[in-house]
Amino acid sequence: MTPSRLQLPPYLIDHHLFQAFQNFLDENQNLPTEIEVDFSGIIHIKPPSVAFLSNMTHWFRSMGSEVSFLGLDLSNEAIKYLDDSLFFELHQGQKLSPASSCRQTTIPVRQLARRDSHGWLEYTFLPWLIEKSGLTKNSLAEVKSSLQELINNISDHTEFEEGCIFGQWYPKTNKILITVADFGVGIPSNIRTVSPDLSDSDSLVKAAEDGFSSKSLPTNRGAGLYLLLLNIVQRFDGVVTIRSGLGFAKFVNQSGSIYVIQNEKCGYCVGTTIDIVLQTDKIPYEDDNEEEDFEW
Amino acid sequence: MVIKILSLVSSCDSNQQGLCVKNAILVALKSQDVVFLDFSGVTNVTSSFVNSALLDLSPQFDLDTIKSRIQIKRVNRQIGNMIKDRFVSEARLQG
Repeated sequence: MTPSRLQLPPYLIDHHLFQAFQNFLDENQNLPTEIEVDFSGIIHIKPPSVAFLSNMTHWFRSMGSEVSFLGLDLSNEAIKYLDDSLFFELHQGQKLSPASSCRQTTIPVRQLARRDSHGWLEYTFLPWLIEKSGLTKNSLAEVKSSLQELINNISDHTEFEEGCIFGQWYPKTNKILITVADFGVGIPSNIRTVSPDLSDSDSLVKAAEDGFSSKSLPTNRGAGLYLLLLNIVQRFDGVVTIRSGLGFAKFVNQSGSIYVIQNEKCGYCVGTTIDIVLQTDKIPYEDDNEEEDFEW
Repeated sequence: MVIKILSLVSSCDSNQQGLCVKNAILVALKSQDVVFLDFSGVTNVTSSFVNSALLDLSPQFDLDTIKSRIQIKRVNRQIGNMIKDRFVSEARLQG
């Protein structure tokens, strides 16, 4: 049987990869047993697409498909970036070139299980973030806790224990972009168990409301996404974008309040992909020795 | 009585860790009017931890009783905000 080919679009930015993925699923109602992902035409890739591409590859394999990669020309800067991000090492067992190595500005793409998340956040991610941002551990505590919440959410709300994570630092603009992706059932499917009439993008907004929970677990109180937006968007003036199913919701800070931009025509996202953009010069500094007694 | 969080759990990330702290609080409240929770050395807590350690005391104690009988010491900005945020949300939900 001839493998089915997923031709990646030239620009793996914004909605393009999600639309290519949706087109591939539309053309292949039953997932093919062999899938060739063709990289030959790619020109540019942005970090969220690295995480989604990785997540998509894991999903294809989890569904029983064999996945191979074509068009891996290392003279192509986008493919070099992927190799330096350790994408091919993760998915093919080795880098395209032994000379490829993780760049100072990236935290390599990896699968992260909840059981490993505390150690990875504490001993790999946080030191990287501290070094790049020039901030202290205490200053970044909200960021660390928000990521821990997202990883906890993956195992609380999906049948899987792990997600994909990737980070990129932009030193000229003081921005750090972190993407967390999983291939669980996705937010719309979870939300529709309690609010069946919501569109996919409305369900993303609903999931981020304070106190709203699909009660996937009895202990859930519906705080994780709300606190992510409260800390990253409202307090730190960052941006959070959530994609799941056909839904897209981008949360931005507008005059101190959280404003959401929704769309339903941005392609299909298997599971959930969350992009966090931190503006590190807007995160308030707190000394690591600063501790005080709490007042209710 | 002072309960040092890091003597009970290695971090404050999960419901299970919160449950461990909640159980210690319940034991202490049987014999003490006020219990001190000492967070020294803890850099961050998740909502799951705060929910299980503190908000889940609410079947036995109402929110005002929890606030009056538990004093929290040596927290950084994130921990203080997380506890406040969760109690504000819970009070709003309870109406």
